[in-house]
Amino acid sequence: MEFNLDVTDGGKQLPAPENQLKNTEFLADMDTHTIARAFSTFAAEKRTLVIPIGFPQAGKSLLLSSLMHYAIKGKDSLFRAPLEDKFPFNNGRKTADNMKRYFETGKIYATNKTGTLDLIGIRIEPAANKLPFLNLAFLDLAGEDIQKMKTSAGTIFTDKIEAVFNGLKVDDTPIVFALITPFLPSLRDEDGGSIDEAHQREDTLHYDFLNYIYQNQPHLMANAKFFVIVSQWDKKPETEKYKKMDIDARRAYDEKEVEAFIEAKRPSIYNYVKNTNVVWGPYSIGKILESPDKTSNVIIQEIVRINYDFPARFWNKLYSICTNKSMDRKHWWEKL
Amino acid sequence: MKTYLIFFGKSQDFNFCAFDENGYVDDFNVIIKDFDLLESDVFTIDDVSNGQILAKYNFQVKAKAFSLLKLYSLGQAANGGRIEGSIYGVALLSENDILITKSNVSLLKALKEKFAELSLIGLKFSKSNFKDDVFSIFDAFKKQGYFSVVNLGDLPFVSKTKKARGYLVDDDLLVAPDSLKDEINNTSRLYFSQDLEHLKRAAGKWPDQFSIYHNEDGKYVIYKEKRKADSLITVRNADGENSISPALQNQEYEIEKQKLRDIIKVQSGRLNVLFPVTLLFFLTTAVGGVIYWKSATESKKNIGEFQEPPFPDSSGKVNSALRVASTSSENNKGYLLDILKNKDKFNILLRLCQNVAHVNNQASLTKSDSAMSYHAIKLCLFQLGADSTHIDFVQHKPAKKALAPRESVSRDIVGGSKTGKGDAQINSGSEKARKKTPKGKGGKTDKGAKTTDGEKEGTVKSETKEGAVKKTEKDGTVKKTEKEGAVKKTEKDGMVKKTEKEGAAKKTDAQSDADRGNADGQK
Repeated sequence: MEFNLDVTDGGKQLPAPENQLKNTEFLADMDTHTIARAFSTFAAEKRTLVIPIGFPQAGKSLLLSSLMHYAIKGKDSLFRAPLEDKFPFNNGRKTADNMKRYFETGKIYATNKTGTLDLIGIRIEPAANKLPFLNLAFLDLAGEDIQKMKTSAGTIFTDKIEAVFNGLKVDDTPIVFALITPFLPSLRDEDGGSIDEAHQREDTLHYDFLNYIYQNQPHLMANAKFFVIVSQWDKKPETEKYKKMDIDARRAYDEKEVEAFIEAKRPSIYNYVKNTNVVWGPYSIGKILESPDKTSNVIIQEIVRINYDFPARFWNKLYSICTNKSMDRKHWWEKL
Repeated sequence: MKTYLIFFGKSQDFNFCAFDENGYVDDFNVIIKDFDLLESDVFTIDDVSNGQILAKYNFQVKAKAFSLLKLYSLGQAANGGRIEGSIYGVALLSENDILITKSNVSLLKALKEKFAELSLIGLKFSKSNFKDDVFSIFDAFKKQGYFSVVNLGDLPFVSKTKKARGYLVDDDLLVAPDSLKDEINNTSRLYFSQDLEHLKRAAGKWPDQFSIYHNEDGKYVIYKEKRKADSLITVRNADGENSISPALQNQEYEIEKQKLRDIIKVQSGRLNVLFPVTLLFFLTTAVGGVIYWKSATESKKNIGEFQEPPFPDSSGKVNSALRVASTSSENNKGYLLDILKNKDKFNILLRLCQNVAHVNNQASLTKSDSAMSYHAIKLCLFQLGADSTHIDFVQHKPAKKALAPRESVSRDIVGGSKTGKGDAQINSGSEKARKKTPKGKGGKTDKGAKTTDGEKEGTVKSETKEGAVKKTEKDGTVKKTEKEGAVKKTEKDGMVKKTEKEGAAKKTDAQSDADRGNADGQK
């Protein structure tokens, strides 16, 4: 008896599995297995995944826009940052380009639709020769999908986000969760006009998220690092003393202020992470001009001052957290 | 087969409320888990001026096909300032195909208007939760029995491609004509909008995922941006400027280019024979005075058959020259002789040559030099009233030694156009001389110029110029060689450096890995 094990299809070689994945479709439009597979290769590529976590309108996409803008066009940056454009980063590449273009023209990048999985691949190549390169991926999710994991909403992520976590678990991929919480959260009907209620809601979301990871994704927790970022820091009134400070003094001042803010306004997060390896800091994309349009009743926003200091700080910190090396190394004579 | 009525919007977070004939669907995950098609990836709101968008998706969830028809527009969150991606709208979802009919679109419009009336002020949500408002709309909808009014087809056809198409539609109908039926049946994501600029922005952002179609003579075809009418190619010279018509550029260019390629292909064979003959001819003209006069007269006649490229490209590229197709057109031969006799016409022809040379020097032009020259020639001949259909091209590879530095060529041209009567002769004399110059007999060649009608002064000037040209050429050649050497050297250095760099990079990579290993170890 003869067994025919022909693996060709009509004379054509069947495509290799990795070639089957090359697709112009959005990652979010693919089935959960394909999504999981795309993330399962990260550890082999020595790639760290960064996921911004926050409520809708917390500023996740704006943070990414600011970071991408700085990485690509930032003045005096200490690194070069080529963007990956092969699957699964192909559409993320376009997203990053759009983010950068929007940002430099002062436009606010669009809110993510539910189900979004924008994956941006980037390689950090420090200017200093001896420093290692760092492969990163940023996953931009919709705030609506993230808040589904709140205890009150059923503590369950969407199938696509679960698929991402399943893929990451395969090889214990290093992961950085950037918990983004706004300095002034937006009010909802149920808050009854109280800003404290809004702060409370923010605190609960992040606590629920940390708890979810700890309880349901212990593998991820073992390889995870946390950044707590207070966004919209520009909404914090600047004192006269602050205005007169130089950049180093401002950084030191902000660090103290942000810790005090988290302790006071996000007590659950503070208690959860205070004794762990966590980084916290403020963030501002720049100054935003808001003008009401009386005919349509909408508010029109425009970024009028781009901030370069916060993204520079973020990139340096992210690099040092992932590699245990600093891009901003000072010579001994500079330290004196 | 159930049909659902869905209200959606980003009142604060994006939210939706779905109803079937029985009432509110409490857990929509039971019907479609993580339903996320009410917002759009590709064609979404991006400006306060955006009009409303009608969209139709046919899709499949766990082997079950659905059809979605939604009408949406800008709706800013109650406590937010973002425009991009902020929407509100109404949708019909069914397990049957929802047809794009006037009735269905009108129904969606009426529902959306009511929704806006209750939950928005202008284009901004007045509350972060619109659930109570849409309940009242649904009650009215159900009471009127409008679920049965929805135009449904058979089972929805789901295309494998998820690429989206945007259709530019007229007026406020937002209804696809019958010609679009097949497209609707074969495409899973369709958008209809009246806002061309909005469609173009979406296509610009997602060129692989989104294409625009518009109605052209009753059929929907891919929209192509028309070329700008003001992109005239202008050929300037010292005296003025001539423009080549956009029609010639845009429509005829491709045809002409192909013709030119064919001609060059054919003529390149003849060139090998023609060029040595021409060279021999010019050598003969340089022999003596009286004989030269005769040969000069002879050369005038011969111009009808062949003319050397007046300004060969110094880069050594294949050049094209005007050739009157003597074999096919005796009329043009006679016409050209007529031009040579007529001073005004001759000056125009001279300007034509200047144009050609000028165009040859336009390195920044996107079209090839030869094609540009061709157009300039066509234009000038058109001005002269000649029949340009008999103009052919001869591919000419100038001998390396005959190359003149570009700078000296253009100087000659400008100088030529500035002087008066004898300029043509002076130029043509110096032109001949230039061809001879590389052989080191340029000065002598100018004697030929002396025998023509040109003034003596002019001739002397021409001689002086020639000498200068010769010197420049020599210097130029030397300099060029030196430069080339320098370039090569730099390239070599560059390579070395590059190699070194590569080595360094590799080293860095290896080091990086080692460092990474150390880092991991430290961890």
